[in-house]
Amino acid sequence: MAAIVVDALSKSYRVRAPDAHRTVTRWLRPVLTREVAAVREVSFKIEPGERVAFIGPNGAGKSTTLKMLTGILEPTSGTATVAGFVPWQQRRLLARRLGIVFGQRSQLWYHLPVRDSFDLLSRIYSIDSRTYAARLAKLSAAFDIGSFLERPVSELSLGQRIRCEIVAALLHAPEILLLDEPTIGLDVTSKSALREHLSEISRSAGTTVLLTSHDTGDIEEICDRVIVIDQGRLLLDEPLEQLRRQFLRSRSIVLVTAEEHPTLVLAGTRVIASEPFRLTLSVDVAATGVDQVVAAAFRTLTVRDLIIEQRPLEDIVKAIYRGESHNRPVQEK
Amino acid sequence: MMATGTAQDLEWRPVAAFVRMGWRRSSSDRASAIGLVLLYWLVLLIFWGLWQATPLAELIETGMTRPAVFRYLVITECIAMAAGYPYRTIEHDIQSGEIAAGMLRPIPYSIAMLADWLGQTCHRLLLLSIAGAAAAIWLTGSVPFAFSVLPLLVLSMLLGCALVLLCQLQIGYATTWMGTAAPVFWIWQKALFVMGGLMIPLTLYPTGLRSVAELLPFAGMLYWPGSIALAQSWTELVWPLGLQMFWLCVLGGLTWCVDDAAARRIALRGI
Repeated sequence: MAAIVVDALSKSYRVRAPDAHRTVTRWLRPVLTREVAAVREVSFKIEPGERVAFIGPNGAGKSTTLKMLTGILEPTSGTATVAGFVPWQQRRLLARRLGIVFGQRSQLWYHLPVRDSFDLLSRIYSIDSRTYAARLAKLSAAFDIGSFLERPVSELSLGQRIRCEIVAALLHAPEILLLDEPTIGLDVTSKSALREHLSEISRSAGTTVLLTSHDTGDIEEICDRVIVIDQGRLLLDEPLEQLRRQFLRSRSIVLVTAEEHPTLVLAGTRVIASEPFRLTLSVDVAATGVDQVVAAAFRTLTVRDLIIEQRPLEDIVKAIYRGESHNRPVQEK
Repeated sequence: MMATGTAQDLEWRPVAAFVRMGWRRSSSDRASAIGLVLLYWLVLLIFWGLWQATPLAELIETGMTRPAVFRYLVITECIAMAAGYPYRTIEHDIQSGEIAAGMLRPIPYSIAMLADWLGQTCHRLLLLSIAGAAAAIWLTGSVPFAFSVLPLLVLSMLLGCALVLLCQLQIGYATTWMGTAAPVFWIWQKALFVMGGLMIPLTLYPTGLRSVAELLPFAGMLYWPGSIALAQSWTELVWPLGLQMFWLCVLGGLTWCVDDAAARRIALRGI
């Protein structure tokens, strides 16, 4: 059975029309409203153990979809099952199978020490004391939170709090983990450590992960599949590697040479930058193989150093948001 | 892994944990506790002074004495101040969207909130009861109750607090419809003070108003626990406790319905 099945899920909101507040006569007239579609007929399926990035620009409908999958929001139409439950009909039953981290909201109790919050969660999720102790020991070691377990949540730094939030979400060993911008506001070191821990824990426990993030580093290090949504519609649903291959038809090759003014003319390549002792080429891999370019470079030039760069995922995501097709190479800057 | 035990154990363990958390939260906030006791004493002193200036004859007509009215006030003020303002927490949770975290747990948000505030209220109730007894001994020369009714007085005070908390839960949920709960709270609070007989017992009210007020839930929150403190025999306790139990069932059911309606509205309109 699939961990998450979403079928033609849609959500519309009624919002006040812009002129509803303009005059005093608003008290006498019915309030004008219009319907805004936040999510439009989104469908996808996630198998147990998959780690999927659910991305899109601001206002794309990511959080709305995530809220529907947790059951706190009811769709206008369509269906979904999460761990076999219909979320908005069986929210509390589903809660036992789901771990949720909202990077910008806390599920811990601010005034309590971290350990007391965890103790309370162990009661809420009916975890027996022996299992709880073992799980807390393992997770606090994995996420390195042992040193501040006795401190109130209100005294923790953002990085420490987010680590505690993730431990809190994993305490009841959920089958599915929903992460909404878990690394938002963290510094580079904290982000890296968090991604590493999350990736390791989810792989070892076989947890299904659905992650939303604007940080492509999160996606690259944690996920192996990407679903892109924009203006409420599903734009793309592909494995990360396939996405790279399809979108990334160009590579950058930087040649450091003994020649002061190196040149290399080859079909399928173009010069991006030419500096003394250095030549940067863009290679359309559909037209010319990278190996052919490298061989030609070694034949015609004295190569001292060679760098082959893949365009970062961030560029791919930007290209998808811009609406570029799969079959066009991502444009060089 | 699920805990071993019966289904009932699984239901009550988290509720008990929330009550304990509430108690600990209130007991660890010493500054608020001291401020609350000082305010309570100040209110009692002011009203004691007020009763001194009241012509005694008017009280004697109703069978009341100054110390009796003061003892009544010790109980009603104790309940009113112990219950606190849980509606504000719910209002904040809805306005900020933090209610989502509460809704995503296996225990209903309103049960968790009620249990947490019941724990806090119990702690404050104990604290204020001791402070109230001390004030009563100092000013009137005796404790504010007959020892024979003490267990039922405690039960009645707890029931009174529970009724206040249930009402405030519903008031907090008004935020879902109105965007704020404050206007509803102010109206409800004034109605509680007047119709619940916060300052003077309903027995001193005009007959018509008294008959209506005695049947409303506000009386169960303040007046009936206060009147139990003045009772001299067990037979005087049956009716007040029966009414409180009745209103507990009614307000409990109403809170469940309001909680359900609010959750439904949130699910349809979002937070």
